[in-house]
Amino acid sequence: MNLTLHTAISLLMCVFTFPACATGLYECAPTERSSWLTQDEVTEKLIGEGWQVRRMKEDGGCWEVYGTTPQGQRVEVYLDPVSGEVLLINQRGTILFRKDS
Amino acid sequence: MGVLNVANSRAFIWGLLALPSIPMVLALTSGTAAEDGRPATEFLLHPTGEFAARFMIISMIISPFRLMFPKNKFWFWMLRRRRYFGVAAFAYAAAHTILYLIDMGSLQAVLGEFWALGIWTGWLAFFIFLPMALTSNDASMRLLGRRWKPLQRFVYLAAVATLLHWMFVHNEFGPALVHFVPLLLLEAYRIQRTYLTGSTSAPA
Repeated sequence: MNLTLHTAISLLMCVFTFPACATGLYECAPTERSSWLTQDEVTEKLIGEGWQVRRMKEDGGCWEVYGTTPQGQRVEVYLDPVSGEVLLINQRGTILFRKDS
Repeated sequence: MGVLNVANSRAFIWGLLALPSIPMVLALTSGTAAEDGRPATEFLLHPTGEFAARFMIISMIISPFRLMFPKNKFWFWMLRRRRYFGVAAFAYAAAHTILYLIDMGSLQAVLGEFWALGIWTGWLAFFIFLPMALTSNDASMRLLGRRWKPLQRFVYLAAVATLLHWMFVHNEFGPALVHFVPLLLLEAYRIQRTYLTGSTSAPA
């Protein structure tokens, strides 16, 4: 799904279901919360790969991390909460990477 | 009478517009970090941008409300002070831009993300605000004459850019829409009144 279509759909969803206006940039498959990597484990993994981590939150069943890529780009990155795999990298509204699902 | 005099003084309007900046300046000067450890320069990015957008929107809703309530004294009072709101929007946008540059830390990082959708839209809005703010004074109005108004109408482009910037910089659409949907509805009302009903009395 391209960004424009994603935007259009999200806008409509936001207008009609405002309080539950999730960004929906990436949906992770449902997983048991107990199997999730902790924030510290996610941070450690990313730092080990050359990232900087500022903070993170849960979004769409994924870990959404605010940080910096090894190339120094300020991004939001969606990770598989169980494996820690990078699923999507969003730099200020531009999708740098999206894993094909 | 005394209350009215105070409300009509320049000090009052500047004080009112500066009010949101007080906690911001306090946070900056005391170097307070947010609960999650973010430094003041980073967590103030959001409120500075938000107040820039709010004051821009306030300056833009005055005309539609004047159209809706032509005899209302409050909106007339607001109309007389519209330029102050515009200048305040620019001041908060300038603070927002400076904080962003500090937060990014290097020119290379700033240029590296310049063409991201959430970023160039913000720069566009800022560089539209700049000449608008610089000409929001009596001397510039006299100097520009009939060209002053067309220049200020670039605010509509700045508004679209601001909306896109807000939505895409962190991919959160809700807060931006809460601010811009009312403006959109008022503009729709204005277009409908001005162009579709043949009304000729369009206040400034």
